Parts: sequence; C-alpha cells; structure tokens
Amino acid sequence: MDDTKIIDLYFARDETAIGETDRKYGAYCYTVAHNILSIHEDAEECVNDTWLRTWNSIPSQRPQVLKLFLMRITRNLSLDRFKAIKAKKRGSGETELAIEELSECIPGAGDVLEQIMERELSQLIREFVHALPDVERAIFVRRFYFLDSVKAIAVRYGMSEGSIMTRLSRTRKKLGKILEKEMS
Amino acid sequence: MNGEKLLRAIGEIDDADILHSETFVEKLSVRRKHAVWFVPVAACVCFMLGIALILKLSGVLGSDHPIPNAGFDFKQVAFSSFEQFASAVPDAFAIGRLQKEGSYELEYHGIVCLTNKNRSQSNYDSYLVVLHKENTVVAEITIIPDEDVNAYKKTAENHSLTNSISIDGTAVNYARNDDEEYFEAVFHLNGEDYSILFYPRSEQALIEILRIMLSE
Repeated sequence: MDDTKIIDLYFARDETAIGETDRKYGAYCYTVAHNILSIHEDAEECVNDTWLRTWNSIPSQRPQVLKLFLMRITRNLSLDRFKAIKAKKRGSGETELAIEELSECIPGAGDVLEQIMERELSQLIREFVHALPDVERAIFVRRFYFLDSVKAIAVRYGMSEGSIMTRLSRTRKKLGKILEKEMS
Repeated sequence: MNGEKLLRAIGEIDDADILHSETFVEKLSVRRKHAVWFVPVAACVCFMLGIALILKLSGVLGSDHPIPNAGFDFKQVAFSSFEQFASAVPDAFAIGRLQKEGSYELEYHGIVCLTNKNRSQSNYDSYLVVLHKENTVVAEITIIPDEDVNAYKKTAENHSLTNSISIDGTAVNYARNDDEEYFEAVFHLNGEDYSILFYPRSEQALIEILRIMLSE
C-alpha cells in the first residue's frame, strides 16, 4: 500500500494502518532495532512499541517520509531500551562498539559534551554529516545511524572491511576536531 | 555517556542524508556499470599513447630530441636490514608520504617494494605496498600508520585471531578474512603497535614477509 494511503488510515483512526505499516516496514524497523539490541525478543518489542508510538503521533504529525519517521521512532526506542539493558548489564554488540568508537573521537575526558547543548550538538552533527563526501557520508550513516556492522557495510558497498574501518576512523577524527573546536 | 549522547545526536541527522545511504549503493552500481566500458576504452587510449611515446623516444616520430623523463621521480634503493629500511624512510610505516615526490620503489631482500597511496583511498593515510619477487607479485600490504592502528586492532580482535606465530621473539597474531581473502596481522615492534593487512597468495607468503620484516 502507498505511504500516503497508510497515513490516511492513521488519520481516519483505522487500526488496519498498523497492520499495513507492519507489513511494509516491519522488517526494516526490526533490522535497526536488532542492530542496536542484538536480542530478538527486545527488538520485536521495540518494533511493536514503534507502532503504538506511531499510532499516538499520527495525527497531529503528518510524516513527510513515513519510512524515516518510523525509523527515528524505532531507533530512539531501541536506544532507550539499550540503556535499560545496559543498566542491567546484559550488554549488546554493535551499539556498545559504536558508542566506544564514538567516545574515542571526543576530546578530553569526562562528560565534556555536557558543555554543548543537546540542540546545538544535533545541529553540529547534522551539518557535519551533510558536509561529508558521498562515500564517507553513506558509511558514517550506516555505521552510526543504522548501527550496521562493518562487515555489513562492506558487503553493502562492495568494499573491503579494512577500507570501511579506515574511512570511519578518518571521519571520526574529523568529527573529533570539530567537537574540540566547538568546546574551546 | 559521551558516546551515547553522540549516538543520540546522530539520530537527528537530515532525512536526505539517511536516504543517501540507502540509494548510494545504486549510484555505486551505476558507476561500476560505466566502468565496464570505461576501462577497455581507457586501456586502448593509454596503449596508443604508450606506442606514440615509445616512437617519439626512439626518434621515429617527431622531434630529434627525445623526452628525457616521463615525469616520474623514480628512486631505487637497496637496504640490507629492516632497521636500515626503516631509518631511511621517515616515519617508517608512513612510506606513502613520500608520494609527494612521486612513486617510490625500493629493493629489500630481493623483494621489490613499490609503494603507493592506497588506490581506493587516495585521501587517506593508508598506503599500499606491492611486493614483487622475480617479477611476481607476492603480496599487497596495506599499511595503516599510527593512530589508525587501534581501529584495526579492534577489527582483528573481532575476527578472534585464529593464528599466532612468534618470529624472533615478536609475537604476531593474524587472522584470515574469508570474504576478502586477506590476512590481518597485529604485532608489537620497537615499543609500537602495528596492524597490517596482507593480501598474499598464500599463508606461507604472509609468514615469509613477516619473517623478513621482523627477523632483522
């Protein structure tokens, strides 16, 4: 079903909207949730929570791109759940690695990012990602937005894992410099 | 905490950039499609230019004065030890920095090392060294200098390094990546950590190269 029609179903408060969303984007959202959480049951629950959140958000909001709207909700819910899991020390793969990789590009020690307001940081990252060259941008987004593994990115773009790692490393370094500049 | 905050902030990037990562693979395949016809055409043009250059140099074509140098600053050096090799090249593992002056070739234990910036990563500090022995390519090594090493070490750890050898007291762990047919070796030399990707034809070649590099 066309996205516009699905959104119209939400506006009409027709519950088939959820089934249609699940049919069209269930697997897509599950992949991201699973990338973040690594646990099947948790990922499935996050996807179900996504449908509930979407149901409560539309109407009032009319997403321009439904797929990305759902993705943002799934990603945020999964990260919330990840935090809870981490507190219980159940731990999970790619997210831990991604956080660790990102932590390496933050200058100084401690909660230095506290100096940058949340909104300011989002804007900074948005501009940084947007200004990256095509390949680097795609790789960065796959790794840190979709939380894809390096191997999955390598397969996706037909490159070697080494090449992906190098490019990510360079991009993180660039980001580190920008953050450093922002904080000084 | 900081990393998590960054990860959250990345969630706010533009829709266009997210979509770009999805459609980029299509763009790549289009580029590859172009490459299918571009490569043979480029090869033909280069071949004809080569013939013309040879004719020109041999005096058959054009001027009486052959072109003295085609533009390459080509150096050839023989080293007797790895240390000598290392000391002759500033920042031993960043050989590619010499590329500013052109291609660089050196001979070491009968193995000719031709260094070049990594073909696929011309903007990055990783360098490709192609090793030839008796006109046969024995290995291609990607050298990752200094700060990138940690990232590579992590990859190697993720591969859960399967093999470990000791060469003159230097422990070398290496892993084989089945998809890419390369080996990744991690070792500690002169107080520094190094990680090198090897693209050899065989495991034996890898060990031979490592032995030469480390046994001096």
